Amino acid sequence: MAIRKIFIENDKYQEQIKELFKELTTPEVYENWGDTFDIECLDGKNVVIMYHGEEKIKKFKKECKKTLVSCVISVMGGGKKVKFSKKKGYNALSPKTKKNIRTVKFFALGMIFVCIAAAVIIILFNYIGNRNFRETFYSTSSLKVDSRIRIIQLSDLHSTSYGKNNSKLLKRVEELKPDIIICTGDLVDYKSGDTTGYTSEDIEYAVNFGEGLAKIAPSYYVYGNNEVEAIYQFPLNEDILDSKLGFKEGTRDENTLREMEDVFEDRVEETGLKILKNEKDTIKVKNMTVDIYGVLTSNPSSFWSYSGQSFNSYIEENPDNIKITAVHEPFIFEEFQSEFWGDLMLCGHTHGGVVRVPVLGPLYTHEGILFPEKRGYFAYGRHDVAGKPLIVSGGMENKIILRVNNQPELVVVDINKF
Amino acid sequence: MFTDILQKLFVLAVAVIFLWSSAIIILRARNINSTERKQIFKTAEYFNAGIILLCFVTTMIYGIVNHYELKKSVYAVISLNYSEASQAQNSNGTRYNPAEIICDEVVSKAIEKGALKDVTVKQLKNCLSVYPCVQGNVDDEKNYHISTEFAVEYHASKHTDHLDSENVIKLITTAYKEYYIEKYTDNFKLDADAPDFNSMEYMDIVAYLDKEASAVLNYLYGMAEKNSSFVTSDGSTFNSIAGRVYQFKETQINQNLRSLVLQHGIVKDRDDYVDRLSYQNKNVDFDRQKNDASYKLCNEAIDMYSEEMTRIVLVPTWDQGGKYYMGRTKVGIDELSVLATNYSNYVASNEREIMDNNLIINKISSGSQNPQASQSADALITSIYDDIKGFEKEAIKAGREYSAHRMNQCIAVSIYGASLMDELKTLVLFAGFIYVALMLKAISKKFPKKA
Repeated sequence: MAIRKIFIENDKYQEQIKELFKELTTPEVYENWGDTFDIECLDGKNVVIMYHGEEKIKKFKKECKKTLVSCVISVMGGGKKVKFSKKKGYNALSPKTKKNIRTVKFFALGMIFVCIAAAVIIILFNYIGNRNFRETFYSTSSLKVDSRIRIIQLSDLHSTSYGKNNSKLLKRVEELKPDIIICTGDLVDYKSGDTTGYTSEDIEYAVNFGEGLAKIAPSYYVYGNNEVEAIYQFPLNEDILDSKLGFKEGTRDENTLREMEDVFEDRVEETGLKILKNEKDTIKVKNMTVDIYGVLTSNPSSFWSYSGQSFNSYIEENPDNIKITAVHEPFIFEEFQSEFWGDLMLCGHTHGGVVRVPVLGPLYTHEGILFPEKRGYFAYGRHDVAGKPLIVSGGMENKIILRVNNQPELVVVDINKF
Repeated sequence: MFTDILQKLFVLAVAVIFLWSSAIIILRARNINSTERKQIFKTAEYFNAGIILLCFVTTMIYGIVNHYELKKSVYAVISLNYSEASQAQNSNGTRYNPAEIICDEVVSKAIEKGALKDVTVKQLKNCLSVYPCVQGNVDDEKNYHISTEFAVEYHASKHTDHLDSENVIKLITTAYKEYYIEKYTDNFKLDADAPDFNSMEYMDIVAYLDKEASAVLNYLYGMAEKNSSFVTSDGSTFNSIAGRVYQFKETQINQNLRSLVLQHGIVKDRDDYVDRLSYQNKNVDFDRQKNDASYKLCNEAIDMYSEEMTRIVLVPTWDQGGKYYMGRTKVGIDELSVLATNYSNYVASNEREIMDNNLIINKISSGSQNPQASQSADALITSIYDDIKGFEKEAIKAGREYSAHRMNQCIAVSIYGASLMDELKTLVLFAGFIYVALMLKAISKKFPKKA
């Protein structure tokens, strides 16, 4: 209360002193120095004139000291000790500068608010947009084709459901009249557990989805890293596979991995959705023969050692057949040079780089690579590998992480005669 | 639709503020002198945080609206990369019609390909337009230009608002490419059902196989004429394949099979075949007599020509370079000489056919039915037929490769949407416009209402 009283008195004195100072001094001096000091009197004896002008205090004292001291005595009475002091951290700012600082502060706060608002809007728009999927159409040509073959690629669903039991997605797939449907992995999520990395809900999800797809067209499924971890409980790289299966260089048998017990596979294949584990399947589509090869060991270290034999026979046998290579990750295409990988290659895994920055493209991949496309990695869209198209799907999940400018996509590839 | 209205409302609101403030300034400027006016503009607070923030927020909202609006418009450029395009022709020489890019057939094909819902051909067609990328002037020779690039523009309407613009234009261009290739490009179907050789005479089979091989040859020569330097993926050219087919035709069909049949007089029904050839000979002989009579008539006419009329007539004329030369004109006797030569050739050809038929008749009549020779001939026929089918397959493959090579380059499509730079330019313009409008509004308040 006492302190408040002192402040009120200070303000009152200050006004009076400044008015008197204006009367006693010349207009020029008042204009120069009138706004550059405050009066502070805390104990009734000592009066401090706090100078906060831009000029040096010495100059201020020289021009105003006498007048100011007489003003203080006139207003506050005699017996006061008048001191001159320069206010720290404040003295260099003129009223105009102070005003500018206030403006900048206001502007900066405003900008922060605007940025937060912009971020909220972007998140909201993308969140709403990602609840639905879009279709991306690709068209390619092959001399092996007599009439158009349509392939629908579904990738990285991570148990996402569009409509009840994916009814909305299945309906759209049916409307697009595919000849072949290929799921390029991560249909379900890996969940850490004691014996299996998947739950009964995952099986139910895959079974329902598989049933729906198989009714529409011949459907194929290639495991992604999530299924591999969930089913095998270890990553499929060469060293680990060798130690787990007891193989070494020259003794490896590709069939061992394929024949390992897999309850998930048994349940899903009952629906008609064929799972390809380093193997091919041949079907007839409109009088054309199509070979589809699914890569299980997509890790570059184990690709040739655990799937080389089957892959080479798939490539070399019946060269007139249309060949479609499906793999979850695009690593083997980045790592190895080959004269022929197939007439069409399909993969996913990258989620389209999660965030797609205009001009710069996909932002990052799970492997921690920033702007992967700029560094020569395959993160999204159509690429050319050994003269044939490689399609990297942006995936269809919409719940793991917020995709920005990267709506979940259903890939439709047409192989035409021309 | 909503974004369209919102975008227009934004621009309208800013324009109203701008015009209103300008009007106030103009009207109130009369109340003060020029020095005061200058002072007002000089002392105006141009870095006003409030105005700048308002500008920023408005521009941001406008940017979002504009982005969604721009996404509705997309265009593709179709480039015709074949030589006939520069003469406004299709690759088969017929007249090129750019309106076909968005014709009903193409649009309906695009709807079918993309399984587009809730849209009719008419509604989608109304959103599409085609125009040449470079528009020439038909009235001015210097600016006369035949465009080989056409832009197809799509702008969504309220009926097509639910469709992805980029997908629509992609589907339209792909459908057009298919439509064009189906309608205007090479047809290289050579395959025919295998005939029943059992019901055919051996010499007829020889003729049939010869015709089949000639069909392959003609196809290959035709393709070689289009592009003799084209090399297939296995290193062959049309001429090299044609060379092999020709060699095969001469040796296997005309020499081996024909000689085998004639040498042994192999026939399925001797009497019937001999009768047929005799009847054929009568017909050919009738033609021979007619041709011979015509030949003689021509010779008589030539003899009747007086010497004065046979002289060469030279007519002064000029060539394309504008140089004069003396041209020789044809006279009646030249025409008669050509006709006489032709009739003489026909007679020779008829006589040769009769001789060939007589030879076959003699060989068949004198030949004894040798089952071993018949078996050899059957085996040879099967082998030759398979080889011809192999050549056909090879020719088709080469033709397809050539067509793919040509057609894939024949129509090139590039799709363009609004670029980030375009969007930024619009935003900068809008920001500048709104800043000026708001500043004018702030300044207008400083002008006194009364003098």
